[in-house]
Amino acid sequence: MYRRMRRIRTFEDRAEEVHRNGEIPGTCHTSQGQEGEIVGACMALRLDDYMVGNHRSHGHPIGKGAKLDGLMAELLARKTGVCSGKGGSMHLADFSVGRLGETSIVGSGIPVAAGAALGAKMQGLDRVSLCFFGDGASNEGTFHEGINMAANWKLPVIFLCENNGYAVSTPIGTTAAVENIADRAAGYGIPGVVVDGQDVLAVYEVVSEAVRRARAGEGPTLVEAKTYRYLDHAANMGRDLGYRTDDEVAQWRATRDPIALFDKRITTDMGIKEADLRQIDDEVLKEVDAALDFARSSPFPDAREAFSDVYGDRLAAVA
Amino acid sequence: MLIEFRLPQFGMGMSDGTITKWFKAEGDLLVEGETLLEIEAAKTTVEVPAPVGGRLKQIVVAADMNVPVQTVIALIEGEGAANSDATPLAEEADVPTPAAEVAEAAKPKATPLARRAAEANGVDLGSVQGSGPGGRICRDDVHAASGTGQAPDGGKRVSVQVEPRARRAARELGIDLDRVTGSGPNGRIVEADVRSWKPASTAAPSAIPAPSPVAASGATFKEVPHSKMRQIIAQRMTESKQTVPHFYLTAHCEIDALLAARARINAAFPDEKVSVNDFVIKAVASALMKVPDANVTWTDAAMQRHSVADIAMAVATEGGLITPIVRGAEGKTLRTIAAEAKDLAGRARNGGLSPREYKGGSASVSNLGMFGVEEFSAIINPPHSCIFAVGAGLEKPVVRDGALAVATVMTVTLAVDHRAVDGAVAALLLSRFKSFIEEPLSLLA
Amino acid sequence: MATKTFLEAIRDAQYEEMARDPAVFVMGEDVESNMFGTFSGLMEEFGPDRVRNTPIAEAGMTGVAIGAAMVGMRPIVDYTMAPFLYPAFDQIISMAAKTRYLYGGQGGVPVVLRSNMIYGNGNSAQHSDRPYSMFMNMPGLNIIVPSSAYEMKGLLKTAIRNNDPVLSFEDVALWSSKSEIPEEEYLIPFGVADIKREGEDVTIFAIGAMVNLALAAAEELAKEGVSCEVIDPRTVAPLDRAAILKSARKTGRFVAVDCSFEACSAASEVCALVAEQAFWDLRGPVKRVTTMNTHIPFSPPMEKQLYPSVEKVIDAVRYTLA
Repeated sequence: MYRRMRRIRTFEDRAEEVHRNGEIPGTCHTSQGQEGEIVGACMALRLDDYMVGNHRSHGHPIGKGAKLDGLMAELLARKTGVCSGKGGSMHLADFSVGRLGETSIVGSGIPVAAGAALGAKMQGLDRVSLCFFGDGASNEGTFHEGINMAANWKLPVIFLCENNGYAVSTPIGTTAAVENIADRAAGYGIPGVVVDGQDVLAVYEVVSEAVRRARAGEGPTLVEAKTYRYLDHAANMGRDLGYRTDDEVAQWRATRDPIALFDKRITTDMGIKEADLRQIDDEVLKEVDAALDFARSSPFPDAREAFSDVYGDRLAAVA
Repeated sequence: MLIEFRLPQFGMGMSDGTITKWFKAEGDLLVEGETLLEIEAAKTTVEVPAPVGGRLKQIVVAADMNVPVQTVIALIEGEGAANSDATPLAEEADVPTPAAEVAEAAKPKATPLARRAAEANGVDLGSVQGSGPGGRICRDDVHAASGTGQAPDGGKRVSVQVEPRARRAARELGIDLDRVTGSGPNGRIVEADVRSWKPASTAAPSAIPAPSPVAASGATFKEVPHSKMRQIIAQRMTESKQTVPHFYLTAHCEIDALLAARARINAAFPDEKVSVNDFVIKAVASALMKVPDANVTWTDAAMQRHSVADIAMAVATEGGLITPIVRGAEGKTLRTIAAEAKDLAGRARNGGLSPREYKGGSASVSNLGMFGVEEFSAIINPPHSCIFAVGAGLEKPVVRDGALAVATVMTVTLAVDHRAVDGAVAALLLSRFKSFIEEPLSLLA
Repeated sequence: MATKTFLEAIRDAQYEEMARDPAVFVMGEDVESNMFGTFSGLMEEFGPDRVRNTPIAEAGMTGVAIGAAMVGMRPIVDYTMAPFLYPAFDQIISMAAKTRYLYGGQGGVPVVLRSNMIYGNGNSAQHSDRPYSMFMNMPGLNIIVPSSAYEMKGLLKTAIRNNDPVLSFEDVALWSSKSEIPEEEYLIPFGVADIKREGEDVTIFAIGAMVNLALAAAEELAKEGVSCEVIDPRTVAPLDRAAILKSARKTGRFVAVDCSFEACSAASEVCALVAEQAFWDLRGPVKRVTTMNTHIPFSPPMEKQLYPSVEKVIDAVRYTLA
């Protein structure tokens, strides 16, 4: 659990650096600060359970156990990336750990998660489906339609709202009339649970219960993890949009950092040695370095690859 | 002598015209028939040729001015003997009558554009009504007569529809669409029109009725397979006409002095008789040396500038036309030229020429004077950049110092490759040639 | 052989594929009540799990279908009417069309999205859409527009077995049309056009119900000695460009009949194709016959004039001959 959180943090820090020196084309939406809710939720699932996430995608596959090489290579636009260079930062998805992708249209993954759960149920599999989405996405029509259908058919889904307080630059309080996103669950007849997203163990507990419900055929749960992202919405936003203060960010970093909190908890209460944790930090650093080396030494895709994978049975219809 | 050039009347209803453009400036040399100015009248635009060769002494009416018909618009200093076709200094408002010397057998006066249009559309200029000054045939007259779908719309071409298939067929077969008559709607050229088109034998239907083809079974003709020479002539002449942009200049040369000189030379050397054509060859060579910009050959990569004047002479043989070359004619005496020409012509007729003797050269001379032809235009022999077409020397009335006189006039039409030689240069060449012809002693100096 | 209607062909195709593959199921609004007869017998045979009513939540139900498809099912989604695709537009484009590509081929979305096109019936602007042309613009989608019961069955079966999203546009004008349907199973491949009538003078390209208009026009024109070739693409994505060009090159004249609105219609696409690549074989201009670029009004005297008709096709052919 610690390892995975550390992986996310180190990977994201490194990704941000590499993006700044121009090796990552396009944008980069990083998850530093959200490691607790990501890992807590992912580890409550089996490897064969489904997962769909959003544009802030990097943490999700790492949280669910994906290898870093393919993820880093994808960020650096190499053909050895998990998406063969076709997806990039917003779609960092390793289907071997999640099966459903990371979709960057806000809210679009919600009904898809429900559908995967339906598919599992129809095939008699006891898999569940985890859907990561943000506070902003909870205002989309697909939130309503997807959760309603899941609730109606009692589908084994865990809808996990990563409420980091802001939709790009807009505080959630100004766009939602409810205090907590989870309060909306009642409107669909399903349980809604609020949890401290920075407390990885708490998240793990809550999601595990939701998973149990789901596997038992009791239907979906809406979990809201209160969390925080340290960096801006996206890495190259340019100017300071002024929607939060540096103090606020500093405050969260100082007092609500999920890794620091977990570190403290397990060394204090569970007898884990500091040294062991530092050892993990070191190993993770090497892992991330290796992943970066792998990415940097991988070739770029051939231009002709642009026309493959549009269809399964033919190339794109380029005249 | 000074000639007043007046605004001509094109068409009965024209009362005035606006000069839209002068193509020449004061002091420029003019060649008879060369486009001198453009006039707009009654919504049509017409190019007007210079009525005489000479020098544009003064532009009396500037561009953008509108004046009534017959207003003096320019003063031209005529060269030597003025052409009898020049606009008379009359006050009448009528269209000036065509000059008396227009002979039946000769090609009628036509602008170079008209000649080209006639050539391209297979129109016999003899059948075209001229609407220009002095009955001169303009391009629009040719189009009106040819009926190839181009409306006589005051100098503006009306585009003929061509279906894409027909265009492609034309490209494939190397056929000039300007020559094809369309049978589709609105005169559109369709593929079948192109595929069934045959060169040269198509005369414009309304100008000359085509001779009615006789069915193959009625034996009014016999098919004679082409000789190699005929094939080559056909190929070279077609290639010349299709690829070389010809333009034409005409000069009327008074040859009395030349004839007198010839008589005296032949009296001095009775066994080495010199002909008029020998003078012509020498004059051409001398003129080319005087105007080196005209002594050139066009190639795609570069312009070849010759340092000598190798003049080809057209010789008619039983098999066809061949053009043996008198090399370095500029440095040869008339008698040497005469001897070589006679020898080359003789061997040409026997088929005894080596390729070196008929390949190359920078200019040709073709002389049909001995057949009584007064004036004609010839086709450039590639790779030459020009050809002088020489007519017969005929006694004609000329105007000298305001009085009528008689002179022997030989009309020469120069055809030039516009890729290599521009109008002014050609004009200069012709002018120099004419000077050499009219003052034969200058050939000695 | 048996004679079946267009609707029966839809029903049979769905039935046969559901029997063949347990992953196939249908979902949509009111499918259980079988409003048009396209689901007859399915519930009884396959049970409520595989014949599901959905809430009126087009985006949601499309997303659910996509999710199910990504994990091994083969859903057929019935939208009732084509304009009801619009609320699901983002799911169709962002999720169905793009998923295989976005993730470098890690997964695919084998969904079939069916809707009918009803127009000319006084249903006004929001309920008279013929939107297949809009979807042609997006890579990643297959689009079938069958012109007869025979085509409907063969294309729909292929659609259900296809591993990528397929949109099926079913013209209501054809619902009661009949074809001879073979007993044996048959599939019609995508991207293979069918020459419905051979001719020499002009090619008439026609989609879906427009094929019948084209054939009727061809009959009329034959009386005047004009020989029309009618080509039915059957699928507008993939489009059988080769067959279209071959026909256009043969005849040298091209008319495209398409019930879409004219702007950016399928007709526009094929005319551009012909003008670009068969230009030198043309004898005349290309011509589109489409629905006029205005909203569909309610009142019949306003509505009837807007759609393609046999007369308009004949006029278009004459235009290319002029």
